[in-house]
Parts: sequence; structure tokens; C-alpha cells
Amino acid sequence: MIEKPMDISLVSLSVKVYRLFLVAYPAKFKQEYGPHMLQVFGDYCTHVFHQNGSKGMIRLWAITLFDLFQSLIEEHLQKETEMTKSKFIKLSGWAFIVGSFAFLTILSGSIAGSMIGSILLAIGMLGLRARYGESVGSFGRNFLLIGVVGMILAYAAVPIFREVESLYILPYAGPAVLLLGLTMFGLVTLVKKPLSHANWLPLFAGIWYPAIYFPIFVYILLNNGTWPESDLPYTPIQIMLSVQFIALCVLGAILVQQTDATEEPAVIA
Amino acid sequence: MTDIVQDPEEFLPLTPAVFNILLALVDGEKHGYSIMLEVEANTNDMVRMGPGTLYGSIKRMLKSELIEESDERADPQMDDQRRRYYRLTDLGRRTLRMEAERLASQIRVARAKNLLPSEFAGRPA
Repeated sequence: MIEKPMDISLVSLSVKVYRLFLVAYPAKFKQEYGPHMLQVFGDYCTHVFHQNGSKGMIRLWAITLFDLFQSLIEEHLQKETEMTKSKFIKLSGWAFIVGSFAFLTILSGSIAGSMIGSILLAIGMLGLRARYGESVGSFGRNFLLIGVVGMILAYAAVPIFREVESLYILPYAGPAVLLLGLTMFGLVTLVKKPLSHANWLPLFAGIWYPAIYFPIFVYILLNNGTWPESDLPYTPIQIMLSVQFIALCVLGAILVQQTDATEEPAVIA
Repeated sequence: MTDIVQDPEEFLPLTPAVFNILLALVDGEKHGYSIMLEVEANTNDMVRMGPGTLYGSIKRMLKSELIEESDERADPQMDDQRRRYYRLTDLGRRTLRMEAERLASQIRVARAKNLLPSEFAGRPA
């Protein structure tokens, strides 16, 4: 079929106008897919014009304008979400580092310090979830969430049970539940291996305090609130908590460093 | 390429755009324009994707490893312009199958409630 000049100019004009619209897409998306989008649009214009003439072109542009509007918003929103997510992950890495310092005050028995530490560590765990959640699957990422929620519930239980004598160490339960969630996540990372290296680190960073706290808690419950004064190995406990502090700092540093290095956020499904 | 095995169920339910793109790729690799035409044909023009929706979906599907890029070459049935071809990954195929089964079970429910005739085969063109 011999194309009339009108055919060529209408399709050509449409492609030129569409090219102008492509400028509005995010730079990275435009660079990667812009030429292909233009090519597809041009092919489709030719196809529609041959089938339905000018009327078809009007309908095509109605659909195209809607598609442009919808996809522009989606791509820009996704770009913002990715940047926000990246920033949050980096911030959560710092929260891990600062939180582990605050958490270490638990060695002096400070409830306030351990609470501040727990909150910051919880932010860190949410960042871990954002960074590696896709890789570890729903099972792995739910452990982190359960840890955070469990911590909140443990702290909420403190005023409720303050009259119960044998529960005097309940104020220290929050970080134990939180870090138990990290420990369980750590078990999953041993299998799924989401980190580029040191997949044992989340388990190593999580396990120490829960392993100390829960046996003591059970002992106190079973012994009418008696503190296991003479049975406690204080020095090993201090060493274990110090090791945990270092491991948490390293985990935080990995979150910060990997966000810096890749700038490629986790996929938003 | 990651060694982590993803669960197809995590992608369900698929959006109509993603489902139809995956369906278009079942019988072989295609470039963007032929995907677009096949989606229209498969859905009797009910699903019409513009280039923005098409490549936005392709971008996300590539990141989720549901599809992968094949190569860039000319389509012998069209002009000699080079076009980027895409194909299903194993994960994409499993995800598509799971979604098709999910939709089929919903059709069975609709039939059981007499909403659809037993021999329902979709709207006529």
C-alpha cells in the first residue's frame, strides 16, 4: 500500500509529540526504556492508522494520554519510594549502631538506657527487614516484625504486672524479645544467605542477651522471685553482652555501607 | 543473578498487565510491540496497554526475575529496526501457572454459584 503524505505526517507528528512527553519520565527510566517506548508507540501508531485512519488515531491518543498520566505518576512515585526506602535503610543502620551503645547500659541495670537502645534497635531491625525482606521470604521477615511487636508488648506489660513481685525483671524483657526476633531471623539468613558475606552475623548479633535473660527469668519465676545471685557468671555475661554490642554495631555498619555502595533498593513487588 | 529461590506465591495476585505480559511470552520470546499486540488479541481489546504501562511492568518484572532480556535483533516480519526481546524465566512460568490456577478456581466458584454457565468461554469478540 502506498502511504499518502498525510499518513506519514500524522504518524510522524504523533511520534514527535510523544517524544516530548517522554521527557517527563524519571531520568533512569527514560534512559533505559525511552527509545523502546518511542519505537513501540511509532509501530502502534502506524498499525492503528492503517486500520482505522484518523478516528483511530484520536482514540489512540486518548488511551496514550491516560497511559502517560498513569505511568508517569507510578514511575515518579516509585522513584521517590525507592529513595525514601534507601534513606530509611541507611538511617536504620545508624540506629543499630547508636542503639547498641544505649543497649549496653543494661550492664549497669539502666532500664531507661536499655529502653532507648531497644527502640533504636527496633528501627534497625525494620531497616533489616526493608533491605533483606524480599530475599529471606515472609517467614524470615516476619520474625523481625514479631520481635518489634513483642518488644512493644513486653514494655506495655510492665505497668500491668508491676505489683507482681516475681516479675521485677520484666522491664528488661523488651530487648530480650526484640533480640530473639533477630536471632530467629539470623537462623533464616543462615539458610537463605541474603547478605553478600557474614550471613552468620544476624544470629550472632541477636542470640546473647535472650540466651542470658530467659533462663534467669524462668529461674526467678520458679524460685518465688529469688535472684540467682551466687549462680550467675557475671564476667562471662559481661563478655557476651560486649560481644553482642560489637556484633550489632557491625550489622549496622553493613546496612549503612551496603546502602551507600549499591544505591539499588530492594525490589518493590 | 541471585541463587535465592523465590516463592511464586509471593507475587500473587498478579495485576492484569503482568498476567497478560507473562501469558504473551508463554509460547516464545517477543519484543515489546508484539507483546502489546498479543495482549490486545488475547483479551479481545479489553486490556490495552500503552508503552508506559508496558515498560513499567517490564521493568518491575525484570527486577523480580519473572522475565529476562533475550537479545536485540530485527523482527523479520516487520522492518529492520532492532528490537529488544524478552522471555519468561522459570520463576515467571511457575508464577503464571499458579495465577492461572487461582483464576480457574475462582471461575469454578462462579460456576458453582450459577453466575457463569458451565460452558463459559469468555466474551465473544
